[in-house]
Amino acid sequence: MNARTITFELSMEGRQVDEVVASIFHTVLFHRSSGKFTYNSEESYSIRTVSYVDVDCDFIDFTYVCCESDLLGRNVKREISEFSDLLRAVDATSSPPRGSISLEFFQKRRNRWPFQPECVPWEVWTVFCELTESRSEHEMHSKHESVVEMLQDKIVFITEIINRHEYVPKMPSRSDADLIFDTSYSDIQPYLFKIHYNLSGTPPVSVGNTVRKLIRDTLSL
Amino acid sequence: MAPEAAFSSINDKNEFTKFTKFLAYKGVQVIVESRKGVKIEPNSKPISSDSGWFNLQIPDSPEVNQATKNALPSDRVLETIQSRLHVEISVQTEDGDEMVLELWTLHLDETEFDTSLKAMNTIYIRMGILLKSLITITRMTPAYHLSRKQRSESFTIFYRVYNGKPKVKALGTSVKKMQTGILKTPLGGIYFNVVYRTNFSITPNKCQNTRTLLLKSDHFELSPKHVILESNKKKESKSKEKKPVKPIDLTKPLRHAAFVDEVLLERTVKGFLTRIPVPKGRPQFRPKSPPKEQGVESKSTQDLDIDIISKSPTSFEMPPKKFSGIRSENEPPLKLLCFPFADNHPIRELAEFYKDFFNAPHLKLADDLIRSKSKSAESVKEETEEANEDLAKDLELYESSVIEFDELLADMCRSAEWSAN
Repeated sequence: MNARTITFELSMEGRQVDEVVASIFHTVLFHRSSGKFTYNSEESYSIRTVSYVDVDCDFIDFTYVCCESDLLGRNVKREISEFSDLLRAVDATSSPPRGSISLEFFQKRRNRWPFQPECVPWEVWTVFCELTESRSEHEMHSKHESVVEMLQDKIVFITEIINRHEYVPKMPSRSDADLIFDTSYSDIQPYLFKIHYNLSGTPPVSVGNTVRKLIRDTLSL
Repeated sequence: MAPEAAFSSINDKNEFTKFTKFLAYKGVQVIVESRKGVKIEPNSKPISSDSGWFNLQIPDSPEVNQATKNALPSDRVLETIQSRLHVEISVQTEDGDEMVLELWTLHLDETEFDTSLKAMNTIYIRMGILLKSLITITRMTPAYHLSRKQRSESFTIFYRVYNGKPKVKALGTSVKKMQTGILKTPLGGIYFNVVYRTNFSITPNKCQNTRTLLLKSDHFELSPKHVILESNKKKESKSKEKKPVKPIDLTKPLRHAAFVDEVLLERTVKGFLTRIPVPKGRPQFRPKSPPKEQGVESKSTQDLDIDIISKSPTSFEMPPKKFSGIRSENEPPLKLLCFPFADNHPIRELAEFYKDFFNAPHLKLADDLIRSKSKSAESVKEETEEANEDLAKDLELYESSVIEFDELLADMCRSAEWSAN
């Protein structure tokens, strides 16, 4: 199955990386999370409500909305910080540091024993980041404006894409809930997702590709 | 056009109408909530009720619901949304200048239908996603940043819900548009969009139509481009409230003309004040109740969580609770220490003054306000009578001093002529 892939290319200052990526990923996760499911029977369920909070950025003049979930906030922040720290540590003498980070939604497919369930990505959001340095305050100011404008465009574009409903996994029955949703959160229920990054600038390897590679390697043995 | 038999049963159509109605109600709530100027913080909302519409914790202000209800008749939900439902967001400064900032629209476009989507629960879930998109986009426009500033600055954001033809001209000539994605249903595509102004100029008042006002030249959050607010000649048909005529305050010096002899003027004013003191019950000019607006009235987004009916942000300012140097309620009053042979020392006088000042009874402005609200009709009547008596005494004083006043005035005129010569 081909996953829907959406890529954004943005250039920004090193200190803005965390917030730019977080505003995109949290906007997507807000749309791709529902309230906790409570199953009354195998097929029937009720859904709790989702709360949301405003997040004001420190290094860009921007506010975004995210789900009210401490754990989700911490998990996303940890992944993005790791990427940001590595990207900002790249030597910038020859060329500006580049890297990409992806938010990948996947569903699991049961496999025959003894194999683990197969992870099939169905939507991948990738942000390509290029770090820039400003030589003057004026340049910094105009770059800041362009980052904010670009980000606004991307956020509007995200809402456009998500409301197309091209492919979203079906609402699962009770026994399949863990194959579609990440049920480990107490306050919300996002679709299963994974964040991974790559510093060379090439698209990161997806979970699906890894699984396929693993299978190929296993067969070649 | 959407096909006639879009839904297989009448129940489905009724259900769809109900969902669309609540989408409109919640959409308006989201827009107005985002313009209240309050950042939504973690744990700021009441504990989640599990039965929230579209599984989202969106506020349910009765006032906003009433405004939506007025614009969205229950028996014509789909027809009204087909002809568009609007939420207009405007700003009003302390001086009464106003400007429409943005116009949000909910539309059911019959041409964008999709008959493959039949399951009502899927439509319901997708409407929830559309609302999430609306929540996200409300933070993107300049009006969001402006509304976040309204509690500390001298302007208020207003909202107005109406249906039918959009009044886009009120936004000026320079506008931008944003749209949430479109949710295609068997009866048409549903979407929210916003048209917002990019030119933030307002005319300070009618006699200065040609001049431009630099409202916030350094307001970075309003717009990154240091916007200069240009003239916005468009005024709504509603007549403006007349500003109250302020009485001349004789305790405040008037502005001096050029080459005025300030010493002479000060002496004259002092003389005047000693001969004719400023009366206690100075008449207050109160504006008549503002004329009712035609059409739909704009309402302040800030009034939603404040019971006191007031539309000026300054009226929210309460007196500070404690001034340094003034005794707090629980503090014991000062007593002067008696030092031998120190009775006639000038510092003694200062100490006496300080003691009197410090021991003055504590003013309970806020409490008095609350108490005066809960007072019975009789006590209010008594107070009014007392005030009327005071006023009558003042008037008597005025009348008895008329001759004296005339003499003084003539005297002043003579001295002015004399000094001019």
